[in-house]
Amino acid sequence: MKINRTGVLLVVVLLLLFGLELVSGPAQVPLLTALSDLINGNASISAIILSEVRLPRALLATLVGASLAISGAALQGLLRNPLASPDILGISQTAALFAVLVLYYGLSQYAWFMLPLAALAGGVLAVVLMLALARRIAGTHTIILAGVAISALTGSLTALALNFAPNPYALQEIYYWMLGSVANRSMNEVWLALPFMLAGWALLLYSRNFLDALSLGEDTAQSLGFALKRYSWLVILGVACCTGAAVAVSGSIGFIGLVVPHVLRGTVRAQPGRLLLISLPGGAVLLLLADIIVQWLPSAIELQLGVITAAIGGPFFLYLLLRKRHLFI
Amino acid sequence: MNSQTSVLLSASELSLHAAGTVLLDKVSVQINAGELLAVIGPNGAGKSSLLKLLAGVSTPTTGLIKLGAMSLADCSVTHKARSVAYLEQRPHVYWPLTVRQVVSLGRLPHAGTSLENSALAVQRALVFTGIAALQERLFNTLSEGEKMLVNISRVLATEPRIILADEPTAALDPYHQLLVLELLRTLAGKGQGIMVVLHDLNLAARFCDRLLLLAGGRVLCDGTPEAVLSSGHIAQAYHIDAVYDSITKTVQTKGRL
Repeated sequence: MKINRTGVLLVVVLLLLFGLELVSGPAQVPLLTALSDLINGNASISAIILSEVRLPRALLATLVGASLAISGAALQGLLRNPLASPDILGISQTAALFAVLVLYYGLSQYAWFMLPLAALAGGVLAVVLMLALARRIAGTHTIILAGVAISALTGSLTALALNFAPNPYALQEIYYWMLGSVANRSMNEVWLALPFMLAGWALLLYSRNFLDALSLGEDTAQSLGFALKRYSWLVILGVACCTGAAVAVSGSIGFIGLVVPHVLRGTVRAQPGRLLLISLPGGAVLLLLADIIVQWLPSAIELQLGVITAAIGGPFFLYLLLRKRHLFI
Repeated sequence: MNSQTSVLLSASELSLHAAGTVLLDKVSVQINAGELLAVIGPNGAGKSSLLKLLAGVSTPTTGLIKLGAMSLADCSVTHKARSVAYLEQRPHVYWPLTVRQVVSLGRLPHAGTSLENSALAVQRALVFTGIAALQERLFNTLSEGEKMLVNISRVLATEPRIILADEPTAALDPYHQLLVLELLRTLAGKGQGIMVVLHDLNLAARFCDRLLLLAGGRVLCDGTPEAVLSSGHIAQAYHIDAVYDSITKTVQTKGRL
């Protein structure tokens, strides 16, 4: 495989931002001292903040960003639609709805995997619904409109579910599930999401040649040796794993899945299969950046991550639309 | 295997039913090595459906397709994809890919094999169709004629034994129609078996060894252009009055019946 220069650059930037994320936050933590304390087993405050607060947050931002971006790239390839992404098609919101139902109606206490599994099931349901709709309504725009309807519906159901839940913090929680955040997480969330995300990445990367073949249409892809149903299911499951796990631990964060593939498409000469791998560091970089901005902004209460991803993603997307119209067919 | 002609792909008694309609009714056909076979027939005769079945894109309701001596259903997906290349009607490329990228997609059935061989096969295909100079152009900026040459190159990059092409001359100017059929003729001369759907009876008569005339999902006639293009057959299939001149190999149409 050829080494992509943009890919290398992204990984370097990713490492830098990861380091920056570790030193961002309300308390001053000298990174080197904290690290040496951690290695030597000194339970200093710095070491505890680093390992219990900062590290899970940075890891989650990286994993969630990567997972949402690769999901977006895969969905755009599968539907051959440049406007597809987990949040625009309502997959994130459906996953959030299922997660909320499990979390606030007590099902999550039965087994640790109930929460991610429910989010994943929500993801699968939304993608299957989407594909069923895509078969019936062929146009690029109608599919997106259907997605908008699904996301509005599941979003409102989520709010409703939270309102009826025996929970005094409903309003705050709604805000979190709708916009997403990686603040105040522990390593538990990392271990909860990681296996599903890795499985999702593997499924999607395994399907990369199929997504390439799909750029010639379904019939030709099939004639090139790709069983359409089997591979579509692999992609659906992969997207559901990635998005479901991401949503289960961070709410539904928008724009990453849409913007990252678009920004990077030119660097892989628009090939859907190659876009998958490079979207991983791309998404991680964007989400880390957004989370660093969230922490640096001098606001009274910390902003939700989705606010910043939209604030960065929105204008950038408009710029791309105006400058590179040909990419959008 | 037969000593005179080697049968690359054969279908016996293929039927295809969809939503209560019979699209194909007991169609039998074989594609021989070194032969250019045209499928002709009026709109809705089942030509495209037949090609999709043979390409393994859809599965027949009843009937058997054999690739060489093996049933197509028992072949590995990879073996099938390497042996049979399919060029669909009005092929579309969904992303801004270059000509070389599109042609390289024809190597997907060989994924995991030598990259050098793949690069060579792609280059050979581009040179064969005469579009090597266009390889860095974006596919969607090309003319219809150029696009078809790219698609033929994509099919060739697979290095298949059998090519199934669905109306490759539709939407092309006369120059490109002739060019495409000359290319297919040359490929047949090299031993590949080629089945091509055509609407232009003159092109079919002039370039093809054998014609398969379909009407209403059935085979009306299968044989040489002289045998198939009789006034009776044409009248029965197309409901037009036409005369075939076997010296000039042209069909003159006189009017609707």
